[in-house]
Amino acid sequence: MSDIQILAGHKVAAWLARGAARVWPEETRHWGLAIEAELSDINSPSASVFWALGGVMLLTRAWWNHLLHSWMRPAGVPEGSPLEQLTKNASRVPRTPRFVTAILLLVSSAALLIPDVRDGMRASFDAWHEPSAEAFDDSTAIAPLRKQVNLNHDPQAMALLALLSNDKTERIRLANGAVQRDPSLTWIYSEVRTTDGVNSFWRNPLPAEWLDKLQKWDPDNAVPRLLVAQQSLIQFEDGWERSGYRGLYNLESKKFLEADPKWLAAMDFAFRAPKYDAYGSKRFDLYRTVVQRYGFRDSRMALYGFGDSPVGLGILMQSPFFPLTSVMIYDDVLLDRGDAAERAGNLREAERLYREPAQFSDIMAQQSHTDFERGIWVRLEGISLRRLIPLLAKTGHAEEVSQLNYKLEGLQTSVSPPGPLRYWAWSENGWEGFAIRMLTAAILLFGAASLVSLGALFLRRRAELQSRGAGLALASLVIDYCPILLVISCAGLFVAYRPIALMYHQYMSWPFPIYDFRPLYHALYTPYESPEGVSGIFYEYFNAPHYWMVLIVGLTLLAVYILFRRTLRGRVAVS
Amino acid sequence: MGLHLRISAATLRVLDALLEHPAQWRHGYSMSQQTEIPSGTLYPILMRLEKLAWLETRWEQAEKSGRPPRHLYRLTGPGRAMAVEELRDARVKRMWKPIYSGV
Repeated sequence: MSDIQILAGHKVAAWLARGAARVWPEETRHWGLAIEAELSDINSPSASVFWALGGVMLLTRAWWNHLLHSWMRPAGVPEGSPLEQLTKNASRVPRTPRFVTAILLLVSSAALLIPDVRDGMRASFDAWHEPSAEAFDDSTAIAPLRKQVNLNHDPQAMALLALLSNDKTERIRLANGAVQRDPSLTWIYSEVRTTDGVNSFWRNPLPAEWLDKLQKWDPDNAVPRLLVAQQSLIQFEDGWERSGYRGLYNLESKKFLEADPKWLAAMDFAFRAPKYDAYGSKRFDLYRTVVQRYGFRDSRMALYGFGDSPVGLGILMQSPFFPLTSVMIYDDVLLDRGDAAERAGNLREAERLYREPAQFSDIMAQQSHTDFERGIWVRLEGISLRRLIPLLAKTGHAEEVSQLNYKLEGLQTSVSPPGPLRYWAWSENGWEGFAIRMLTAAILLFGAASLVSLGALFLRRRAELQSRGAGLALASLVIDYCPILLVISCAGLFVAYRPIALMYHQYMSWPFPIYDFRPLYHALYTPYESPEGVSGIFYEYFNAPHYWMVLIVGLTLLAVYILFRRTLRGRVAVS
Repeated sequence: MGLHLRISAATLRVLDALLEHPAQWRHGYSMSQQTEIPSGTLYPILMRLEKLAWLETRWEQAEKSGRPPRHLYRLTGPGRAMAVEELRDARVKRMWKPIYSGV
């Protein structure tokens, strides 16, 4: 063996042993130094390399033992430090073993990976924010859909985005593109908003071309005709607004529309149409298909769109109920005409005119998805029957009178469905919604507090008990209790949001068309609800900006306190 | 769970070597040469013996400049008694025949 080889062998051994000793865990480092020191007595280069390799093996063992033992110590307490002796008794040092803290934080992290828990948190974040149309359009809920549309030009995804997008130009472009690619989607023309701004929901002027296509595509349906009639109503409303809202809406609109032959023709057709379909089922099917096709898991999307706030009637409830204003006005027109015919003694004509709204409401009842529509047909039929029954009694139709009385009685009891179907009663699930939002806040609070405390304890882990100020004592307290509170909050949110998520999944996986979305809407809206009386306080004082303000003020006070303590301590030390 | 010594053949050999001249301080490498136990096996045994208080350790004074002080080992009083007992027990059970100490 040449001198160079001998020298190289010794150098490698020295390098290995020195490196091992340098990274050796503090508490057993003297053993690493002991192995390194022996090298000076070893003459053979191969023996010295083997000796050093033995040291490296021992180093891995030392690190393993170090890690194993360190899990038993609380966070921020180094092994062998004076603090270690105090961990069981001194409240100014964390007492929970490190592995317990780690398990609790891991369990919390795992809980936060559960899609249902994340869904609940996202809904809570939405509920905290002030509604704004811009906020939801750029949100994580809509962005993935837009990405898929740009990638695939899938007509169904385009149609869904046309309903949800906040950009007028994009909505119109996507609606035309979707129908061009798949004419079975023509129904979306009935719901795509063509204007922006606060009135876009209430007054949605549809291009004549869209209305023509819609009527040709679905000729037996009353809804396209109601939309044609709606255009006349929009004209009236624009004029009424320009006039400074002169006169009473009901009287002025009726006067204006009665004089419009286009409106009268459209309403006449709609009231005689063999079917009423506001495309609620098609809309939900579209939503379900696209969501399943691209694996979107964000249930908030079902509440988005067609409004001026991020969360509104959404996909589930956005039936074009505003054209139903025309229905109410035309009902008035028919009943007025019926009254006039009855007064003139033309009872047959009066009967025909009274029957017409009742027949329309029967058709409407077959495919109404929302309580808005339900309210309209119940009212329409009630008014109609109250006129028709005395007339039929007068003309000797006793048997039909009895049947119609029974029907009228049924209508009166069905106006307010009991229990969970009463989604109109916003505070029904108020406490549950409040709990979901509070649990989300608790997760954020305890999660942030745990991480900040861990960081503080790690940075000041060598600090003696005497020099541990109130900040570290607080961090010790936080790391002892916050991880368990974090786990409890995560579990609470999972339990609270699980029924909502289950209902959503059931709706999404149901293999047949669905006609009643009220339970789902009610469930998804739960995180936005507040108990009666609490709602005002909550939204007034506990919204997102207030949380930030409280956090910033709190942290500033803490910083001032710590600086004050340090300055004071420095002065005492000098004196 | 208290500390205990796992009596392996290598441990018995180390105890045997330490008992050869119990009052004398030993270096790690010389023990390794004597017992033919590599450093990766020898030092865990020494560490366990130290934890059980059978072994006392100290750093030597540097004899030559530029040479690091070395770590020295010898059995403590109770350590010697325990080591003798373990070696005798092993001999009775025919697990071990002392080479250096004559126990």
